[in-house]
Amino acid sequence: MKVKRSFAELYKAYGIYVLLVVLVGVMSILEPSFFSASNLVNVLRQCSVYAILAFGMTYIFIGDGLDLSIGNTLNLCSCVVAMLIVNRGMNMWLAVLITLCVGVLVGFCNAFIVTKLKVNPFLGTLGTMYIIKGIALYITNENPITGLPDSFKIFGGNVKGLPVPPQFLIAVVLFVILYVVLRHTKIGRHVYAVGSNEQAARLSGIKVTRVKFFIFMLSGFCAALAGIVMASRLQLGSPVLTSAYEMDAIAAVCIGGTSSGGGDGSLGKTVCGALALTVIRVGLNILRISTSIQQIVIGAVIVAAVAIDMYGRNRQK
Amino acid sequence: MNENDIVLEVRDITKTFPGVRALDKVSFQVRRGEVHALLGANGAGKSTLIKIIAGMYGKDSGEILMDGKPMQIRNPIDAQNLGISVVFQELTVFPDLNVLENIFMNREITHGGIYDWKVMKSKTQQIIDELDLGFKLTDRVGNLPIAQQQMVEIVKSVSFDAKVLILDEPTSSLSAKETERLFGIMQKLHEKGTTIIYISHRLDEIYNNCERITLIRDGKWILTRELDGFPREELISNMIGRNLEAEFPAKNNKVGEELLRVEHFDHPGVFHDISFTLHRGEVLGFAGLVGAGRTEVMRALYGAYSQNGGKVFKDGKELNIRSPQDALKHGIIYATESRKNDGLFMGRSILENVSISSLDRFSHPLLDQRTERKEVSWVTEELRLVCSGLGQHAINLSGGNQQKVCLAKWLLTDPEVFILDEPTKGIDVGAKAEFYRIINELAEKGAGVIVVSSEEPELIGICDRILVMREGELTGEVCDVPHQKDVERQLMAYMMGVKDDQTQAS
Repeated sequence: MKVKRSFAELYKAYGIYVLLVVLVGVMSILEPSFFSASNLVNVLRQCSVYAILAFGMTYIFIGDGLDLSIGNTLNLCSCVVAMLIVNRGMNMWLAVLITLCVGVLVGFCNAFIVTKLKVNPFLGTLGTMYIIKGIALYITNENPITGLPDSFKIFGGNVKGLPVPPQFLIAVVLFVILYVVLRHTKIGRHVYAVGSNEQAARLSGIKVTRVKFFIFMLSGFCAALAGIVMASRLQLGSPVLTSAYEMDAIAAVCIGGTSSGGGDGSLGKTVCGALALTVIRVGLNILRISTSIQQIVIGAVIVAAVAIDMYGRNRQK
Repeated sequence: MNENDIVLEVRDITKTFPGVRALDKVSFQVRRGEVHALLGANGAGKSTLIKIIAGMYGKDSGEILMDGKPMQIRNPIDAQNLGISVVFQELTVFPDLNVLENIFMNREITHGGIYDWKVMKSKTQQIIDELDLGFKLTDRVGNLPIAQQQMVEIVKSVSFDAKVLILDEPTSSLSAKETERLFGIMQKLHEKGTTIIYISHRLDEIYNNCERITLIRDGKWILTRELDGFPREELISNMIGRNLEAEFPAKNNKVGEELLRVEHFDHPGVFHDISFTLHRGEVLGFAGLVGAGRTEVMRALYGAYSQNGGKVFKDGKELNIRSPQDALKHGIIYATESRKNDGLFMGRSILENVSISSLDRFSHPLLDQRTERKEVSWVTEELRLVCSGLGQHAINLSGGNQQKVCLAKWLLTDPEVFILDEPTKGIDVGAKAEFYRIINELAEKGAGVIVVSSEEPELIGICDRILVMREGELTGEVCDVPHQKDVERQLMAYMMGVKDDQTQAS
């Protein structure tokens, strides 16, 4: 009994780190080329996009929400930024700024639906997911937008003289800011409080609605940023640029150990979750294991991670 | 008296919850075919007793006998099979199903595995006709008024061929007319020979409809007797009468000037025209039965419940309180009754729980966590919180310590008006005494403290003045509580509406 309990608690605290070390260890035994410079850069590149999306999703999960619209927001924003630059000839930085605002606006709409129309987050953001997809298809006439200038590669392509991919730096900066906000500011505490017990939060004098607007707008912002990065990396804006990235973000958050249900979780774990997800994906690719098997493995890891987490929770009670 | 006359007997039933002895060797007998009242103050153990008879709680020791034979009641199904049926105060219908489906839930009559709706229909229709009830079998239960939903439960019990029907405060949410109807139906069942155990706080109802009465107090059996020739005053004094000394610390607070004045709070159907004042250094009690509207009034005062047209003045100035933030800004706090539902952040640390309402003070805009920790330790030490450290999660604390965390949160905001809703609910005797000490100290320092409590002795032990609410209205006031005798009798009278005999509910 005692041993089991401490195992669950240990897992809760360190499980994701152990998982990550094991994954990397297994990879290095099976396929030493995993550690080649080019492959590691590839891992960082992919991981950064997952992480950027998953940071927003972590805030959402801690605040006991859900946002299914981010994958399509990412696609929409890739179109917006590409259209502004290519079709309108707009200054790149201004286009990026406007695109980020579009993401925030999507988050605003999600928050409005959840807080004012009282639609639960799952269904509300499922609805906006379709709407955003439709908008992206509509504004692009269902065609990809190409012809982005080389200078736009600064967000997600190869930058000369930079040893790491630029999106990695973006993810790091975003992590630092969001970590400080979550851990060292009033709004961060409020996010935890609202997710932990909404009624108690309200009676403690917290403006619950405002907190929810904050987390959904942040989530939209992260999706827009990821959209810009992906557009830069692929030199392309497209309504079908990525598929189901919202699910990858949720997977990263869950594998990291932030549980749905609210009031608990951390960004550091989400980083590890995103990294684990990428290592599995890239690793299995290198091992030439088919994508169908990859899906099965990732699914199993999610179920296992959440199951162990729940086991730990039940033990606590 | 013939042994066969006893349909149900409980013998020496004892039940202990963590820290509380809810029932202590309770025994009583119910005669066949009688309407038997079960009465006791809030927390006397009535509900626990009923739940044991209904098989919802296990008992620590004692026996339940039906028709003189000891019976094992391990779960509600056992109780049903023995012919014991309970209609609880909080109804247990399925609102989305129709009347018939509700009545035969989980005991559908089948014919070769297929539901035989015909038989079920005719069986139920017969009962509905007999009792002259005004609903159809196909009505969706959630659409019926509460009174009729209750009837559905009664029909369900009757369709079980219940020998003993237990009604737990059935009239608490009914209007006067509906109440009368219920009594008509009780009368019919009585004539058919059903034994009824009737629980209520309304003495009129008990005197008009019951033959015998059993009184319990503090989990102990007090008496069982005929109601005929049992004076009300004697009944009330038997219901109360407890030693009030020692538990409560000596009072040294001085009641000063007016601090808060509430005028004409109104919320249709919940409370009506509530006005009162609170003074500096005063502990003001709110007594009343569960559901009298006290919590709602307090929440309205705190900006967490709507009310029409009422005004709040603090130090003579009118306040505009529309949200808890407004109330907090004016130094008014409200500590909720349920720590678990709307008081604590169970999965978060003590530190975060305590400082959550005072973060503005530490936010520059990064949190000054050193000062935060210092102030939180100071206030938790002041309250003598027992914990392994400020990082301990609230869920791992005892009930009394959880309550201290709630109070610590509010103390840190440095308020002048404390509204404490059932501050000692579910905490043990030792912790209660500490809370009484803390409340006294707050008043001594000049704060105004409102205590809502369903434990009358507690109010009498700590309050300077007690207001009584009954069915959404202020019905009485007892001033200068510490120097009066007989306060409990007065409170009971106001709460039960003995002085005005009208049982009008809105």
